[in-house]
Amino acid sequence: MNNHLASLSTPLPASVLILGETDVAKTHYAAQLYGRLAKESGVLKLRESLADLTPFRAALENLSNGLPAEHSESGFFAEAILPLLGPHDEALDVLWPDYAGEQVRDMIAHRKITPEWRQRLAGSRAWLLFLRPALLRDADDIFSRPIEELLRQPAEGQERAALRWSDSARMIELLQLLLFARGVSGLHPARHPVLGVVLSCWDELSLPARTTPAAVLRERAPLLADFIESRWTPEARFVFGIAPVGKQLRRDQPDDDLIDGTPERHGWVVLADGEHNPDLTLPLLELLRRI
Amino acid sequence: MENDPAADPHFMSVPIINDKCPEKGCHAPFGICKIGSENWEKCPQWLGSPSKASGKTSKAAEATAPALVETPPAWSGCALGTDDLDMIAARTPPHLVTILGPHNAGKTTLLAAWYRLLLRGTRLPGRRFAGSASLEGWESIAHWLRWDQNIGPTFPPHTTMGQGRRPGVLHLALRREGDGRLEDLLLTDAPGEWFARWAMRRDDPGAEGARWAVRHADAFLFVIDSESLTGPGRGGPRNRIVQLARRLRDDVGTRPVHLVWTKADITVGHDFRANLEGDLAVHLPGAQVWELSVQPRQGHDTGSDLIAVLAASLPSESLVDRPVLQLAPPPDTTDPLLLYRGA
Repeated sequence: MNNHLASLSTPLPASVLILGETDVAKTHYAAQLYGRLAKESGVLKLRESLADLTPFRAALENLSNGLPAEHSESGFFAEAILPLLGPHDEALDVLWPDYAGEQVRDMIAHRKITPEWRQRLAGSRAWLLFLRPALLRDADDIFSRPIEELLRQPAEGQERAALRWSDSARMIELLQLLLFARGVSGLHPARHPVLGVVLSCWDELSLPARTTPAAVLRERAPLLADFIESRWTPEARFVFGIAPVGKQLRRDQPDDDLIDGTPERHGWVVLADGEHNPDLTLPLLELLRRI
Repeated sequence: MENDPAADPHFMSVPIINDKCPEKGCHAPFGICKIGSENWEKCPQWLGSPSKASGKTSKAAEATAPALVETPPAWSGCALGTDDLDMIAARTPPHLVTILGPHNAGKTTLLAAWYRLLLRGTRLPGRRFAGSASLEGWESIAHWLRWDQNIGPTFPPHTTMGQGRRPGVLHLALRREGDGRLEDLLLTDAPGEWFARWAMRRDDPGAEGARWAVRHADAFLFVIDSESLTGPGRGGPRNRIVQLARRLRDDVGTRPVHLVWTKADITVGHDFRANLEGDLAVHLPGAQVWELSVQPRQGHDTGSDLIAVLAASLPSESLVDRPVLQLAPPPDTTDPLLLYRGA
């Protein structure tokens, strides 16, 4: 009885669900995050060594050799529990799943939540959505490119490209599907799960100093920004930027600077006020503060 | 961690479970089952754990735990049919704007243009986009107004009664900035033929869609194609517009009507237009008149003009005067009906 009561009083692990399609630097961030945790250079630290480094092994190896981390295999799924220590010595366990971004793309395309995903959703207290602003561009339309004369029909021999959803609409539909599967009502802005939006590969944007991530999201995907602000309370959402490595890497050319400087000294986060900070654990800390 | 989520009435999820699977390396229920059971509650390792050794708990869990299956959403993403509207009406009384007018008047182009504006960050006054159950429907018509690598924008394909694009209702969920209430806006995307038939014969069997759209509308956008009212063949379109206005007069009651002259970059003959406007004023007195064009015009901002028309068709007051629903957490289920909490 006493043991059972003791187990009931044990804090639940805070499960963070990582969301993002392919090519949004999730794997880079996971590897760099582990590096910060292992080196204890961030606000969050590991309470103990990871029992299994397998989910991070390939990415850590590649980055150490100055090469980009490879994409996760489509069907591969691994999880790691990160036993963390907060700034006030509070014990926090974060479940970090690793999967191929194609799974998210397929979820949107087929509009079905698999049992595995539903399980992850049910247990998650926070979602971390990775978006890559450089890829978040909608095609020009009649408002961005004024036309002399609106074409009534395609010219002979020309065909319009197949329908491709706008990036904003795809992400909105993804979040709608996940909110539905989680049973979150749309009548009121949600307080849970907490949503953190991470705008990745910030280094490739070449933005002025102190540009805020929220401003970038609004500029690149305004409908998505509105949707998030409508569906989550201000306390339950935030937008950060991140450059996990701080530079573009090439598969055919190892980066000596990364090798010699070690990956753990590269990469930075852009906070809500536009300030850059090398502590890559801050997005997680922000999530955990809001849960 | 602040604020226990379980105390939040808007937090809906499966019941919090404090036990953890005893299988080494398995993170169920917080992660997927390591052995590969689709339903961790039926996994023999979970059921065989000490906290469930009584057997009674195991059997109860086994008997009541739903099989985990793929969860389809409660909406298709396409333009909504009348059967789909129950889902929207279950959470708020939706506001239906019926867009009517002859064939090729520009009804679908209006819809596509509004959506493109929303995508670009234009907002309806006092409201913020909060979702849509018909995103695919919106994308399929807005696609035509994009510049793609091959060709420039064109008008969306004709909304047909037969094959091709199906008529339906497009949906926008909007969050009011003042009181934070959710509004559901529905906009019809219907073929001109429906209204032509209805105008000619009220009880035409092929005009059921038009009758439905008129009967349930909260506001009307009556679209008039300026281009059709030029040239030697302008008499026929004028007659059809007047016939439709006359038919609408019998059903409109006190509901607001907006006359929207599309392709306003094309000039209609002065006297011809004055006579037509006079006829319309007789049948639809008090209708507000708008002029729109997707072509740039001096002194006009195309986007602002377009959004102003849509904004004018919205309700000025909150749709409901009743307390907002407070929903209990859903049971652990994959049933789309039970999962739907107004998502």
